[in-house]
Amino acid sequence: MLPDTKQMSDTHPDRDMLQDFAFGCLDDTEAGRVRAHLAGCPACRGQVEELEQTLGSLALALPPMEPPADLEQKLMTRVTSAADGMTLEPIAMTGRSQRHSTGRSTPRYTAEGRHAGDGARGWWRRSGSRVLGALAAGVVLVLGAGNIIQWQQAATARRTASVPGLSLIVLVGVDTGVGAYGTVVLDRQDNGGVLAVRGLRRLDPSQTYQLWLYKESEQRSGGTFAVSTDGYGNLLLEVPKDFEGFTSVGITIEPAGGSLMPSGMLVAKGAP
Amino acid sequence: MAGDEDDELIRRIAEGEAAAMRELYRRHGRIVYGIALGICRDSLTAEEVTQDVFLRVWNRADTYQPEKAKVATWIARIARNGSIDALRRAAARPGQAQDTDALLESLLDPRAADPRDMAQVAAFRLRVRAAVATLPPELLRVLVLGFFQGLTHQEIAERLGDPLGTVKTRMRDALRRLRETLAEEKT
Repeated sequence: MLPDTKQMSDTHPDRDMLQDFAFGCLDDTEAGRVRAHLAGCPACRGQVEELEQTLGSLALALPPMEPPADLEQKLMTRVTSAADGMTLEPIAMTGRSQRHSTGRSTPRYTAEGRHAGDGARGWWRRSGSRVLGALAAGVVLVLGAGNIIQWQQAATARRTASVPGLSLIVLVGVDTGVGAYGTVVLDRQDNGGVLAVRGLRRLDPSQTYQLWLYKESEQRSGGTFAVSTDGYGNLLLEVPKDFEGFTSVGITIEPAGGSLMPSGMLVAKGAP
Repeated sequence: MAGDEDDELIRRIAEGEAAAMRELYRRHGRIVYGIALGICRDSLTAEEVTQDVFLRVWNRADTYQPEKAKVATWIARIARNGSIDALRRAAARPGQAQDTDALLESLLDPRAADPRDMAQVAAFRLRVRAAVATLPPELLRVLVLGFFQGLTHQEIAERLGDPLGTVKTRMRDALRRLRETLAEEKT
C-alpha cells in the first residue's frame, strides 16, 4: 500500500519507484504522488533527472529514419496556427487518430507530462467551423476585456450566443489570477470545447495550469495547458458523456503533468 | 558547435519564432521519426507522434534546461514517451504486434552512421549504441521490453517468466551500466 500524499511527501520513494516513474510505468495515482514528492525534494528530483538523462540518451540508440516529405509542412501549418494565438487549426485527421481516442477526461502521465485532448481532436474535426465564429468572438472579448464594462459585454455575449448548439462560458481570474480572463466555447451536441485564456502568469516548469469541470460534488479534468510569454493559453477539451450539464469550470495550478483532483490554487472560475 | 546552435534554436522557439521550429525539425526530425517508428512499428502512428513531439517542444521550449541535457537528448526522451503513449493506446487494438527481436536488431545494427546526421549527435549515438551492445543479453532484453516497448516491470516478469525482483534488479543494473558508460558531457 502506498503512503498517502502527505506521507509520500515525508517519505522518499525507493529507487525502483523513481525508476518506474522515469519510465512512465506508474499508474496515475502513484505518479501523482511521486510528482508531488519531487516538487519538494531536490535529492529525489536529482535521481529522477539522472535517470531521465540516461533514458534520453538511450532513445538515441534507435536509428534515424527519413519521415514523409510532407510532414514538415504539416507540422509548420500547425505551428503557425499555434503561433497566431488567435485561431486553432483543425488537426489533420486520419481514421487512425479517431480510433486512438480513449475519451479519457484525466490526463495521462509521462515523465514529460501530457496534454489531454486526443479525443477532442475528433470533436474539432466535426464542429470546428461552427466553433470558430463563436471562438473568435470569445477571444476578442478575452483579449479586449480589462474592465467592468467589457465584463458586462462578455456576460451579454454569453446570454445572446446565437450559434445553435454552442454555449459560451466566461472565466474571470481570482486570487493570484486576478486580471485573467477566459472563455470556453462548448459544443453541446458533440460535448467538445475550446478554452482560450489571457492574463495568467507563466509558471515554473514544475507546475501547470489545469482546467476542471464541476458538477455537483464531482469534478473532472478538462486537461492541462501552459501559457505563452504574453500570458495566452488555449486548450481543446472533450466533455465525458456522463459529465454533460456540468455547472461550473475552474482553472487551478497543479504539479507538472496534472493532478487527479484539484490540489492547487484556484486562479480562474466561471459558469455557463 | 551543434549543441550551442540547438540551444539558440530552443531559445528562439520559446520566443515564438516559427522559423526556428522549422530549423529544429530539419535538424532532429529524422531522429524523432526514427524513435517513433522503431517503437510504434507503424509509419502513420510514427508520423502523428513526430508531429506531436515537435508541437510539445513548441509549447514547452521555455522549460528546457541546457544544464540538464543536450537538446537532442531532451527531444529524444519526449519522442520515446510520446511513442510509448501511442503504443499503449494501440494496445487496445487486436493484432498490433510488438516485435522485440526487431527492436533488438535495430539497436545493434552496426550501420549507424549517416552523412545527413549532425556530426556531434551521430558521434554520441555511436557511443550509445556501443554502450547498449556491451550489455549482457538478459539485461538488454529487459531494457528493450521496458524502455522501447513500454511494459511495466510486472508485465516484463510475466513475459519472460522471471521473478519481479529479478526484472527490477536487471533493469537497475542495465541503467547503471549505461549511465556509467555514457556519462553524458555537456560542453
